[in-house]
Amino acid sequence: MSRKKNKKISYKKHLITICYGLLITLFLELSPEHLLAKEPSINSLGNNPPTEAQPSNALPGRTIYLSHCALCHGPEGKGDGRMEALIRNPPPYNLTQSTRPASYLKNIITNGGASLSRSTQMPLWKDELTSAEIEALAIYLLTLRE
Amino acid sequence: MRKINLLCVISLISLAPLTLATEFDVGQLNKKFSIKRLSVKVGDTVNFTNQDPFFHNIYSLSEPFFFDLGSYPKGQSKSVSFDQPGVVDVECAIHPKMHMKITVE
Repeated sequence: MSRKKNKKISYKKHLITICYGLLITLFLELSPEHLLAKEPSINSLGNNPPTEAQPSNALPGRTIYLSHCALCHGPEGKGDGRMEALIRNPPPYNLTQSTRPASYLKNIITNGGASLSRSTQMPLWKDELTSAEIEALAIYLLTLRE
Repeated sequence: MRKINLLCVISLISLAPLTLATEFDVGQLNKKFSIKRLSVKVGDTVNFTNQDPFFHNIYSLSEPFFFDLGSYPKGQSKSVSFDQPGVVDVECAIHPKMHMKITVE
């Protein structure tokens, strides 16, 4: 009788251990740190742009692009935004033709065109965008290339 | 002779409002223009002063008042004069929510 009881208790213990294990796994999967760790950073991309677009990472970058960059660079990055009529010398850059590495894009977005002897019309965005947003934006810009 | 002098004085007084342009100051603070609507006369100038600790920009795509004053840091001002009547939508390229309207009469 006591053997059966002991077996039952042992099963229960196993069941509880498995449940805890599942809960911990689920928690780790859903925690923001874990989600962030899954996203590749520009540093991990190195100086070479990826050969294929990464839609899952490009999506937040696109939202930022449309609200901050499309005014000059156009909705598809062809340099044909609304400000094209005003910015002539030089005109807004056609981002689809860019061959610069992600690190360069991140630098010009952060510090502005003047810091890299490019157009002074390109503002610095470090006061407006977080480094994570700039990184997401740079990744998105790579997907615009033809 | 007195009549001629009087005529000169009257004509100068009547022309004075046309020749004396006024300057208006508009601040840019907390990502907002200090005034949402402004009425000016043809020939008047509006000075935009950046009071925020980061860059601002001023531009308008309202025809026929196309202008872009570029980006500038805290403490700097940029000016624009209006030489014809109309309504000008003024915006900041860095902060899309910044917006004001100038009516030129």
